[in-house]
Amino acid sequence: MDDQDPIESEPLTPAPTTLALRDPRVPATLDDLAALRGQAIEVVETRATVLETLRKRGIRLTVPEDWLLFRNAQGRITGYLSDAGAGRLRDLIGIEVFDVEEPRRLMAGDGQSFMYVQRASGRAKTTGQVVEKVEGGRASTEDFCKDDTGAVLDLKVKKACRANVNGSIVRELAGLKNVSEDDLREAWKGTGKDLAHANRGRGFGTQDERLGAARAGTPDVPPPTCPHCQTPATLRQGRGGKGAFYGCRHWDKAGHPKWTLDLEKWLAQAKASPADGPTPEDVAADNRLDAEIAARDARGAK
Amino acid sequence: MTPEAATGVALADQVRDQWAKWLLVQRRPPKAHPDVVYASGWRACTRRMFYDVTVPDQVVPFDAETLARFQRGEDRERDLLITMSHIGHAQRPGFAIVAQQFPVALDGRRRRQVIRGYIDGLLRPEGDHRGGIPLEVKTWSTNIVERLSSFDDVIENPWTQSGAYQLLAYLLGHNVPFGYLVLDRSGIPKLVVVELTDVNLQRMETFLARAEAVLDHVEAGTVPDFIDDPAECARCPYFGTACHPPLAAQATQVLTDPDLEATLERWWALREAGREWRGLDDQVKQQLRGVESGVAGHFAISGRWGKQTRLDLPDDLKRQYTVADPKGRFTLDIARL
Repeated sequence: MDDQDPIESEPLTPAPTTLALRDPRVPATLDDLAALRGQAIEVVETRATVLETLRKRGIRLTVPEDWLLFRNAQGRITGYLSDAGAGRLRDLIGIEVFDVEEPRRLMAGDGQSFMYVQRASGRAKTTGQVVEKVEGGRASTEDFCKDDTGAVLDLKVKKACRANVNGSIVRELAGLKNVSEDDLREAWKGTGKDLAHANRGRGFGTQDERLGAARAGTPDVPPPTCPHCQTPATLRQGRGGKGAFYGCRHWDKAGHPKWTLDLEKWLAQAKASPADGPTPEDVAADNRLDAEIAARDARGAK
Repeated sequence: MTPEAATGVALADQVRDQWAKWLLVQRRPPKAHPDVVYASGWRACTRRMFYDVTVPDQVVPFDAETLARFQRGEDRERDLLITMSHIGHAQRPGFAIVAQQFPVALDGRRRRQVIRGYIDGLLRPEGDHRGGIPLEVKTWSTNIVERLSSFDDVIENPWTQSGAYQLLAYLLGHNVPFGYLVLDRSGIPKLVVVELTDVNLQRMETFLARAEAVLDHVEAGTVPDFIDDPAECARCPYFGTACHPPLAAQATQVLTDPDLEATLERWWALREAGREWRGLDDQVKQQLRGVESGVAGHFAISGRWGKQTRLDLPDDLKRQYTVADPKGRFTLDIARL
């Protein structure tokens, strides 16, 4: 045979072994799998298991506060992983960020607000998957910088923009763009992490309600007042199986001891007759009266 | 006081807000100093050192809480030096604290000044009329300070190593063999001895070379390369503002050995039983210690005493032969997901 025969001179690539193909980083074609015959299914299952374990392990590395929950019209709840949370699992998945472009500042129509956008590419070492020119961005009108102005605002938005690019790449490559609440609960099983501590977004009432004001399901009775500083107590959800309770949110600033009252106890008191003492309604009315007197005094002083 | 501040809580809130505003009003953007690297300016990343001297205003300004911590640090530095001065006068043999904010400069190649700083003070022992031991007062977080007992601890901690280099620069610049890092804490401050040993002189060579490289880049209008250390980038205040580095990543090892998987499955299945057995084993051994011959239900028990040899060494001797191996212990945490 001629030495120049193109078939003979083509370099031979050895077929990956069964053991190697169990690793999801090793590219596998249908031909490779077909050549394995009976072992192909086991190899595919192993690759899927590795990826599933990685995903679960990634979620386990996050904390509930890293997640923003959304509820759709059908009541289905999904979690969105924050940029800070994405940073926790970047090393686990082995996600590299490269071809980072300089951030661009875009002005809004009002001439004051602005946003930074930035692009970068990413590669996951554990899967070999690559995403190119992923864009991230943050705006000066967002909550995290609402009290800032000037150079501080500019630097904060720019910094957050880079974090968002990194976060977007990690979410994409780790398969954590939208995670169901069941997946979150399953991954956190046995860790003590509780979905109740996740942040709540669209589908969970008004912004005030999401930030701790009265929620749907809150009892229709006025809150008790703190016996130390006489301010209305705040309803909180108990952790670790403990029921809801009222607490004073001024205890540390006002310098008085912590004070709590179980919701059930307060509801029981509310059902009690007026002869047993003031009802919650009476207490609330007293509070309102005190507030009105204070406001009137304040007006007088002016 | 405004009428709104009628209640104790409201008044406390108002004072706190005013305190924060007062701190923020005094906040000034740091100024560039492209002709010199500060003695406190050692960074693991040369690019970050470059930004420190050229665009220090590209760091998100500190919030009121951080500014308050800095102010506390300045107050403590002043108070500690005053207290040390009183102690030096009152005790015998005495000492004096002199030359506060004493300037020190280090030249590089071409007789160019590359590092500059100010010593917090010199401790001058009684009878010494000329010299003095450089002091650098640090008011780091109490949690960090409690973990620092030697110079090695200080220089190995990424949050404190710039302080170690700072004092080394003063020792070299002032030409003295040793100095003290005075670390503030809730009790008596720690005095960590810093010496110009061969290893530390080598470290200063590196610091000088890197400072010089930074100034060379400033002169040439170029920027040093990115550091290949994502952990350092995560700590860097310029990340995302002036600096946009690519990020490398370690990846979790994917172990594909099916035998290992089978072993792990079996290990997991027997784990609870193993734990229970170990607990019972301890209990049985404890309960039956000393029973040389006995019977319990269906069980025959026999035991015997044997000679035990042990080395009963005094603590100071044990310490002498104690070696710390950074990779001597390996802890595994395995979870089935």
